[in-house]
Amino acid sequence: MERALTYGYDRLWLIQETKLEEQELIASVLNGNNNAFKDIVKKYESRIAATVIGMLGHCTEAEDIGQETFIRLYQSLHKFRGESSLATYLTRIAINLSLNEIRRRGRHRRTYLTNYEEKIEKLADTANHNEQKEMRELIQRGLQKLPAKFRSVIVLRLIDGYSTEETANILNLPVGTVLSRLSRAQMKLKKVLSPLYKGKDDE
Amino acid sequence: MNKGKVMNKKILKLLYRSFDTELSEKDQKSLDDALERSDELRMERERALAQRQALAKSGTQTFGPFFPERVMGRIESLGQTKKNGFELFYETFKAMFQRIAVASVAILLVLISYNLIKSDIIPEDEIIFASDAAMEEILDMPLF
Repeated sequence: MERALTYGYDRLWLIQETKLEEQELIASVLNGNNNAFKDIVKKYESRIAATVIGMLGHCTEAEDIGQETFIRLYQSLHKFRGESSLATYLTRIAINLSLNEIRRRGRHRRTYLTNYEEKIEKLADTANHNEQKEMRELIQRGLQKLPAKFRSVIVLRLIDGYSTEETANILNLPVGTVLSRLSRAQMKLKKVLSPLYKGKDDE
Repeated sequence: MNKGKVMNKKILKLLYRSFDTELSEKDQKSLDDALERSDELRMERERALAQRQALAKSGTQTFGPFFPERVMGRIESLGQTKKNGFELFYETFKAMFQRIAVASVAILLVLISYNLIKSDIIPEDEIIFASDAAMEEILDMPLF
């Protein structure tokens, strides 16, 4: 109990510290210090990359969307009221831009994934050699096979590590919907990734 | 048979839900019971956890080296474009305004003069210094 309380205080302190740091950075950018904005980009690049690459896969558009995310933040920084954390705000922009990109791709995406099964089998065969890299690639490709609404909950909850409530908040969905999409998305992903598990079970 | 399948699906849903939220006491109990009974479900739980771990690990990403620099470059070029656009507008406006301003002042002066003359505030004679006053009257006027 005491440990839990200490953990709670530590977490609260950390959140407050982060918020303070964010506010300082934002104030500095608004005062014309562009280096402070560069610090913001450095700080959140990895999180936004995980979100965008999770949504779009490794492609040239992913970096464009990543850049666009930060540019949108820069342009709307004076409107940022700090009600949510900067990370959540950025993730919301990144998710919306990624969903727009997926909609824009439309039919093109389907042709891109035509030979997916064949590729996934090949990746499963090579998983022993360069397991980590291959696994990541496999997951990326698996995610691209999921419909956008399932992909977004997986990316936010399981890759970015947001809580179920935060995920619901970012996607503007009820928590119940997020939970149900998460279950279905994981079951779908299991099917998509099954060649890998099959390969592992055979070892 | 069918009922069994439905049950499995329900339990499976509960299993996946249990990773992201706290189940009700009743649901938790039925999941625990099912886990105790079924090897397959236990295996499924291990598999799902492994999948979740793999997903979490796949999260460490980057857009490649010098990404912050590229973003800053784009922001600076955006600022430049904006400034150029504004400067261009200002220059055009200034050039146009100068001509319009000179013409407007000229028209305004003509209009004011015309109105003053017509309204007899300043008689025409006075404008051309042809007053009716005699030279003596003018000379008799006190200086201050």
